[in-house]
Amino acid sequence: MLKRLHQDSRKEIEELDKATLDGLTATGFKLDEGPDGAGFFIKYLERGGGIYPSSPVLN
Amino acid sequence: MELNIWMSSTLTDIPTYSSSDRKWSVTISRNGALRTLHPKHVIMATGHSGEPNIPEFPGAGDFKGDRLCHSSQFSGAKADSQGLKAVVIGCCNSAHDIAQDYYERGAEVTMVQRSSTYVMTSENGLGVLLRGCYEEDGVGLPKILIKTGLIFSWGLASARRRRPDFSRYHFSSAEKITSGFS
Repeated sequence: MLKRLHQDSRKEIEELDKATLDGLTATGFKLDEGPDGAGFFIKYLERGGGIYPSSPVLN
Repeated sequence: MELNIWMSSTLTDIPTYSSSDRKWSVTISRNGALRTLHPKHVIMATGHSGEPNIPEFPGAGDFKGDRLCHSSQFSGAKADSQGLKAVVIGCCNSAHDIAQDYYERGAEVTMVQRSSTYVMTSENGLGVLLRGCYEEDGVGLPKILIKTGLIFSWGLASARRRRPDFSRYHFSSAEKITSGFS
């Protein structure tokens, strides 16, 4: 159930991050959607890595 | 907490499990003496990242640069890295932070990626994942969720957004569980 919920959250985040993700793809960076498209948190639990949550801009 | 903790103790072999006895055999070396225990459960609690995994690169011994290290040993790029070249092997948390550090200090950075990475910005991602958890008009997290951290709160906050009645049921169950712990 947790994974199913995170699938929706991932899609929502993906829309908000579209410009960043498109830029990464354009420069040749390989992206994925996490296990079964469930994104950040599920990938952290299953892989323990393979994720990059960008740090907030502090300045 | 009055826990019985043994320091300076090492597992000598991989623990084995007996299906008939339903117990483990765990041999531990402690202060030079061996002792075999037969617990019902063995809990691995060695942390998340553990020892650094440093791949062997052919020709690494010929490296002429000033630093070749694992991310866990990286103390920051030189203040003036102008004109320097940096190669970052890997594409996840530490790799991006190190690459950005070098970039901001003037180095020319190349990042080497093998497998794909899941990327989200904290600005957008955390807003979505934590929505309803820590806000003035949020759901009011029961103590057990605060104790157990983000794992459940992320899931439950997501559930509540989609099924308002879900969290009412689940939180009341959690409150009952909490009373047993506090």
